[in-house]
Amino acid sequence: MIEQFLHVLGGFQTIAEPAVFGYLVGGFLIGTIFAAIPGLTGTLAIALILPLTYSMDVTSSLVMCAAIFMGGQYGGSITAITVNIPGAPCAIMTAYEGNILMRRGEGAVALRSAALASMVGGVIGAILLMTLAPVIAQAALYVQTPGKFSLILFAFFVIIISNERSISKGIVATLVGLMVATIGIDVASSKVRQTFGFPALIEGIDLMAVIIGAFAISELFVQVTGSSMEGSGATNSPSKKVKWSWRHFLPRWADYHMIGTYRYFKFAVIGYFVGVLPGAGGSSAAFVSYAEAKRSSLRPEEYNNGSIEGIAAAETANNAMCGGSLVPMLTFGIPGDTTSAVILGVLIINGLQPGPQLMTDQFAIVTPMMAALLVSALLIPITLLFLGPWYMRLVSINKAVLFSTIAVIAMVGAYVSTFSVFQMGAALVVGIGAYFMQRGGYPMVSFLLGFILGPDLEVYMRRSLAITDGSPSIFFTSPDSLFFLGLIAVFFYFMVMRPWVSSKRKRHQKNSV
Amino acid sequence: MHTNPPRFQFGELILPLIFFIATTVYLSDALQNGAIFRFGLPSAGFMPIVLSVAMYLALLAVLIGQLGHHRARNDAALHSPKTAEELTDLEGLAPSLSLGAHVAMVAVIAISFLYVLAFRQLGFVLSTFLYSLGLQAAFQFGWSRGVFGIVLNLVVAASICLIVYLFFAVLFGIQLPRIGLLK
Repeated sequence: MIEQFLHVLGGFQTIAEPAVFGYLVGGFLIGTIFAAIPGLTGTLAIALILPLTYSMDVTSSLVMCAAIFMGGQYGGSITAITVNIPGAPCAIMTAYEGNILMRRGEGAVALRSAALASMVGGVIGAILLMTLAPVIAQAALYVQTPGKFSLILFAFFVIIISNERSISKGIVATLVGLMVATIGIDVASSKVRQTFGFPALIEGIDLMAVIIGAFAISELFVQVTGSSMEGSGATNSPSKKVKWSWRHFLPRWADYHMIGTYRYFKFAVIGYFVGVLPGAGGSSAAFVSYAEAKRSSLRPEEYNNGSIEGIAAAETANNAMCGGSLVPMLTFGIPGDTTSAVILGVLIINGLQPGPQLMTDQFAIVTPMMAALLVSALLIPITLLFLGPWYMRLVSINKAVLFSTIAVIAMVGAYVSTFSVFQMGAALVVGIGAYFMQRGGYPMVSFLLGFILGPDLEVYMRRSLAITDGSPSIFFTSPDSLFFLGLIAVFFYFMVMRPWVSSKRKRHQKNSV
Repeated sequence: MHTNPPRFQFGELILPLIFFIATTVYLSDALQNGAIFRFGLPSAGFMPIVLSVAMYLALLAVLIGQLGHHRARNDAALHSPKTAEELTDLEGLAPSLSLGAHVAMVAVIAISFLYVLAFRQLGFVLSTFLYSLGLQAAFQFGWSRGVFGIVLNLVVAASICLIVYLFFAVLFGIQLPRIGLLK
């Protein structure tokens, strides 16, 4: 235990070296910029930097990757709040709440809250990684295939019932996402399906194309139809009238107090544990934490109307997820999400074999990476002080110039993710569909969750059924699966049944008066 | 004063109809995947068929909900037009678009498809320059400024092209398509 603590201290000592610290800051800025630009992600940044790690020492490589990872989780919130385009999928809930505040002229508050929550989540996630990694990795092994299926079902359930406007439309949007995800090669049997006779569809629709289409391209249509009604000009926001300085982005005690230590800790723990489950990722962490925040909120009326608490829940969880997702990767070589999968590649390139031995005999090699996660989380509010005013100016840029630039970056981003012109076209088609779905009141969040988690849901379902020769009873007999199904029942009671009963009772009382 | 009951909006009937047609096409393709179960286990066609059935049921629920909302809005419109507008807002439906907005939308879709088709043929630089110009035209950027507006459009389009090129090709060394026609 003391030896482990000394290794962790040694990790901090290593990142204090100027060259290593330079890699940390550089990596953090690259991750933030990549995640802030729609179509680019922290994963892509690490993937692009992967060839450079050949010429770097292993510590610097891992430190830089950890900093990109943390910056990448945070950066998505910047454009999510300022221009309603989440730079990364995990910032969808932040866009949902944050852009409303931005349009209300409270963009600085939203950015400040997102940065503060990201810092708190990142720090707690890193501390939990350093202290609980070996224990947590053992516990995560108990969640087996049926449990993973029920976990995804739980994620779908909470996001559908979060759409208070119409649950049925939420279900339709989720099903559309699931259907789009089935196009191409069947993940379980490698058989080509749902190509409708078009050979180009065999490669399927890339996640990048779907994200770019659903958020960047559809936003272009929203803006162009809006501008022809309002006339061209700067993006319509009261924010442009204010002269922004670093003081507006300085974290306030009131910001922290509004959420409270207990809730921050709860969101961070949710994010961390979702991250520990292999394949869950930052999006699931943000979705689950947001849903729980809404369920237990003292101010539920603020949700869907610019809720600071909603932003805090999503951002705390997705940054805490960074620490969690490294647990199964470091201990068992099972990456928690796509970014940690790329970091796994960095470890292997440098001749390190993830596994129990890495966490015992070679623990000193990975501690600088853990320390880098914590330090880069602390950098988040500091960079906001310097860059915050620039983020706010994003909205005072002429709408035509801003969205023409975003459209070009998005379209080219869809191309570079797979070097396929077909994916550019797919992003455009998804964008058109997303625009009309939004106009009809179909939530894009549900669509995207269906698309991202659809393949996993199918694989886990088919694998589970294979265990019991096709009998679905396994989902009701497996303890891990029962746990998540029980959570669905709890959420159903608190978020659907109880509000319905209380509204019915109120209506009855009103009528009797 | 007699008030006409509000018409069905775009999202209320046309979208569910489009989803219905798309699901039917999707299901017909799924049925060609062969047996749903193989050796007692679900095959590649199982999930698409389950999703199609679930979609039909969800669409039915949407339609029932829409009809209920439409009836409530009609009743509200008889009493207060403002209440009817509030109900539309609660359902998350967007307000109707003007003719100009429709034209701008169709123009952006058309130039975006042309950009995809021209990206490899004309190369990154030329296709992106033309795409940026097209987008600015759709946003009516600089239209009221005469010759200065045209020059501004050209400068902005060239700047967008340069920024995106510097970002992808120079900073990260990603190879973007060159002029294919001139090769």
